[in-house]
Formats: sequence, C-alpha cells, structure tokens
Amino acid sequence: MIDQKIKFLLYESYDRHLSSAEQRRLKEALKTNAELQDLHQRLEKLNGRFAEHQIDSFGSWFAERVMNKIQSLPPKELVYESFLNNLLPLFRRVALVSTFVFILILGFNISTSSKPNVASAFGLDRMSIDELADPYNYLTLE
Amino acid sequence: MFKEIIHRYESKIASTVIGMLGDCPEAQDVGQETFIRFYKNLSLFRGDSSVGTYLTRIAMNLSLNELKRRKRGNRNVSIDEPEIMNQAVEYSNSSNQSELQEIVWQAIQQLPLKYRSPLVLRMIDGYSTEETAQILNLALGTVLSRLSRAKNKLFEVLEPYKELL
Repeated sequence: MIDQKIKFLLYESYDRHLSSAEQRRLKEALKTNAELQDLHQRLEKLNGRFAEHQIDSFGSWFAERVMNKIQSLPPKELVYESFLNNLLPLFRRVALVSTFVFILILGFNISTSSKPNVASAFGLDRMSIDELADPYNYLTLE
Repeated sequence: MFKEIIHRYESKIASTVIGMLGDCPEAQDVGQETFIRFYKNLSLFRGDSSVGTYLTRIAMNLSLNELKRRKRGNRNVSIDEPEIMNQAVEYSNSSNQSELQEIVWQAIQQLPLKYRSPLVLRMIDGYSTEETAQILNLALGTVLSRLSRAKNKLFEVLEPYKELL
C-alpha cells in the first residue's frame, strides 16, 4: 500500500524542485516500499515513451497550405481584424480609470439619495425617463 | 518570412494539437487555424512571451474549443468531466512498440480536459511547469496538482497494460 502523500510527492518530483526534507522522505520511502519503487519505474518508462515519440509535423506541405489560406483571406477581413486590434488597446488604457469613475459616481449617487436603490444609483430618481430620453423636448414643454 | 515561422514552430504546434485531439483530420485544421490566427493578430503580439509560447496558447485554446464543439454534438459536458474514461484501449497480444505507443496516446485522450492539457504541455511538448502555468493561465500550484492527478489517472487507465509499459 502506498501512502497517497508520498505517491503525489513522487509525481511532483518530476515537475518541481523538492525541498531537502521532501527529498529525504521520498528517498526513504523508495528504499522501503516495493510498490512505490514499481510506480517509480513505471513513471520513468512513461516519461521515456513520451520522449521517444515526438510528433514532427502535420504532414507534408503544411506551411504551403497555411500560406495559401492566408493569401486567399479577403483583405476586408484583415482590415477589420487590424481595426479591432488597434481599437482594443485604446479602450484597455482607459478601462481601469473609467471603471473607477463609474463606481465613484454610483457611490456618490447612492450616498446622496434618500432612497438607496438601483434607480438612485444611476441618478434616475432625480430625473424622469422623459427628461433622460429627450432633455430638449422635456425642458421646452416645461 | 511568415512561412519560416510556420516551418520553425510546426512540430511544437503539432505535438500540442495532436496531443490534445489525437491524430485526426480536425487536428490539421486546428493547426492551420493556429497560424492564421497568429498572422491576423500579429499587431497584438508584444513579445511578452516567446513566439512558441504565444502560438501554443492559441493552439491550446483552439483545441479546447474543438473538443467542446465535439462534445456539444452529443451532450453538455463540463471541462472537468472525463471524455470517455475507462473505455477499453484496444490491444492485441502481437502488439509491437508502436502499438504500445498508441495505447499511451489513446489513454491520454481518455483523460479529462483539465488534466490532459497540462500533461500534454509538460510531458509531450516539454514545457517547464512554470511555462505550462503561463500558457494555461493557471496558478503554479494548480498546474502541479493537475499534473499529479493526470499521471495518477493515466496509470489507472493503463493498469491492464502494467506489465507491458
């Protein structure tokens, strides 16, 4: 029977540097536990199998096929992609500040309102929907 | 110029995509789409990571999308759920080394996606644990625990072939 902690320590020994205490514990367990030794050997073999079997390519003429597809892309699609790619960083730059200002406004609205609710957070309790939708008409009707 | 990039990184992307999807026709499509996406988004590449890591991240995301698309055809399955766990891996007594290799590959395909992706990156692609965490956008501890569980599950699937492997 293998202690689960030791078993996972053995697995992890392939993926991270073990502390000297962990190394000692694993070494001791490997000396005394035959099942753990067997698992260790299987792990070694499995790693060997992965190392042996390297996938080299997707088949012949892969690069040519990709290049053909790229050349057949409509220029409009590329322009659109590039437009979006340039636009996104602009928004990213102001996103944090805008979010902060937005939260600040919501907080101010709620704290100054007599009835704190969703409508008051957006300042709607101080303004009717008519005024909000068409302020010019609303004011002239007054 | 771009063709050079394809030649240079084809094997890395092939091992990621084929490791995730298996050797199937869709793997080639995902491979092509990986390079096309990279070409379209060249302006976004800031060089924070290497081209190989960036391409691998695209390949991994596209592979996961493809696997989700496949599953959606049958039923709604979460990323945590095993795909076809415990399905019998075909094996004949006269199996040679390449057949044994095939058994290992089939066993990988049976792992749940959340375990398969770090295993493919770490053990097949040969990325370090830190790079694997960076590509999958996961904490290092999460990757370590998933890798251990992946190996454990892999041995469970391969239990009938214990003597051969």
